[in-house]
Amino acid sequence: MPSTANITVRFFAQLKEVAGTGETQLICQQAMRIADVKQQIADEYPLLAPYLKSVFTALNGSYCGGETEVNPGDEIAFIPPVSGG
Amino acid sequence: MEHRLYHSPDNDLTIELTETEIDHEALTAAVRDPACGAVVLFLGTVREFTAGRQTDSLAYEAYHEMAILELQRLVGEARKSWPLKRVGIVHRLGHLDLGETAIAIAVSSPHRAEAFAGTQFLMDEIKKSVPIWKQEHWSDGTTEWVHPGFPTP
Repeated sequence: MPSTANITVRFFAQLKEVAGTGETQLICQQAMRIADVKQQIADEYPLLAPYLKSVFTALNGSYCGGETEVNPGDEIAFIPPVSGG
Repeated sequence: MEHRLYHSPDNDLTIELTETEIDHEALTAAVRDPACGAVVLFLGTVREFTAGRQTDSLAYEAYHEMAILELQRLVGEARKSWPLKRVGIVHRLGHLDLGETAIAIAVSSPHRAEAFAGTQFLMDEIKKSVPIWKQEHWSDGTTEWVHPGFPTP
């Protein structure tokens, strides 16, 4: 079970293939922002780094910017350019 | 098998994500309304050739929870501009063969101009923001996620 002190980070499509997983957990730090989550993921998954400039981010199912604050229990998603329809 | 269904509380919006074939006749019937003189149905279907390359089949993947929220938001946006009575949107996920329906949008409105315009707006916006992704299975045996603007691996 994921600890409530954690945040969940989800990957989709090509990002999921490159990361080798659809999701991971990070420990939520004090005053953590989306940009910090991105940096931590880039450090942990160096193969993802080249793509992270071109991904959008979502917090609990809504698009959000890099300055958005992250709290324990949140779900952050890295959204590669979409191609539905 | 992944399947998500959303009905708005007053039943004027239905959103479905499904791995089974889309029943666009049922979707069209569901948006008909005596207050409306127009029903528009749009179908997006799997095309064989893209910029000269041949497709064998497609696979679609979604961030389900967010896709449903984002579709609700887009229908709310559309309703600020056009008096759409009932809206139904179904997106297919998983494996699709050539010619199959990937998306169906059905809209009813008192008059046709609003129904056409609302449907076009929804389809255009879905392609920009709803977290659903297409993987091409090309006829040469290679596969490729379609992420417009992504660096090439």
